[in-house]
Amino acid sequence: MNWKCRLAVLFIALIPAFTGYPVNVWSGDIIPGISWAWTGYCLLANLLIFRLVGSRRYAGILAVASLITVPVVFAGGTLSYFLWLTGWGADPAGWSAHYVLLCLTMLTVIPLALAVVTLVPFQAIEQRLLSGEAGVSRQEKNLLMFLRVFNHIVYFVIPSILEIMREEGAFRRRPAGSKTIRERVRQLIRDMTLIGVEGICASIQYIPLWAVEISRLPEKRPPQ
Amino acid sequence: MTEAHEMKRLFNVGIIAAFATLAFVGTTVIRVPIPASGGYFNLGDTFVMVAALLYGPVVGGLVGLIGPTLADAVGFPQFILATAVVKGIEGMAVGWIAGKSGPDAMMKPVMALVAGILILAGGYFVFEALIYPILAKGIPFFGVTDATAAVAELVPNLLQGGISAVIAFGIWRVFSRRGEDG
Repeated sequence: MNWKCRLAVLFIALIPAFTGYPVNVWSGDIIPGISWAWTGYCLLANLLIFRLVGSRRYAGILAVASLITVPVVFAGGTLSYFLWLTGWGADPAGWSAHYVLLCLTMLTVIPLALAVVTLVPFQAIEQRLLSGEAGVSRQEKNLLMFLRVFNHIVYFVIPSILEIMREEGAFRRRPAGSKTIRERVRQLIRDMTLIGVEGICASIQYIPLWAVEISRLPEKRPPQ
Repeated sequence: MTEAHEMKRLFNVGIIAAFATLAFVGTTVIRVPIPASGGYFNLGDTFVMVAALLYGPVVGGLVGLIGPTLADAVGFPQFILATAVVKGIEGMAVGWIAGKSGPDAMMKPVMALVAGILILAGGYFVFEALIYPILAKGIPFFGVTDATAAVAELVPNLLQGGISAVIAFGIWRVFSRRGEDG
């Protein structure tokens, strides 16, 4: 099966996650609020991804999906629990199923989305566009620019920024209690502004160069 | 089309792609769920606002439309419609109100960011309190919020907009000063 067929299968598998059909039609709960259909869909989607991308890539996809999902679900559950303890929120029985369902949804949709990104051979598409003898259309030039920027940010900018954050965090470590809350908030906003500036600079630095390079590619001419 | 026009067009495509990807990452990486509505708090708006302040309403609007919407597609598909409309309008409005402001003309960018915060909070309120409950009558997929949840989400959304705007203002100041220094 080539990558286009695999992609089509993944897009079909995404339909229930974005429409709720047909999984919402089937009734029957494992526990109140968590249906057999959603749980089964989550398992089937992951099995499909495993089959389509292979075990090695699937391990990476599952790791990233878990890293995104776990903090969101636990932060939500903890926040709801504290609200309940302080008398502001609802009883845990009312929202526990919601977070389990959120976890299932995220562990379905994120792996599917990551599998889509993994399956598209960005480098090959770029090479095909660049080496085409018939020229490049305006839409293809836009696509080429988009692919270059996306690849650059995902594979170069974000890992570099994470590395910088890790290094700077190690330098800035101070003994607890040496700063007031106000100073900490100001420091946090300053740090986030700096990370934002660094991220934007690193992301857009080659765009003028790529714009010149791509604009000079020969235009596609209609057949004579 | 001349080569200069072509370059300018491709440059804009690149800028939209860059800020949309950054907004996507900013929305996906920092996510704190809001218990009342099932929505979540994030800082992706920072990049929508910065794009609008630096490159104007069209770029801001497109960044708002693409980046956060893709992020919603990853985990919170019910909110795609609201996010696409609200953040698209937010980016356009911030860019339109700010116009071409230099580093010393701070009034317009501040007004633009305040408008952005209000559009963010107000827009989600309208969708969650009015539009989604109406849509849910025909399509159960949208039955995730109601008026009570929309009211509960007002403060987190104002906070999200406020923090994003403060960071966006700081980033804009750095870039506009750099622009003036050449």
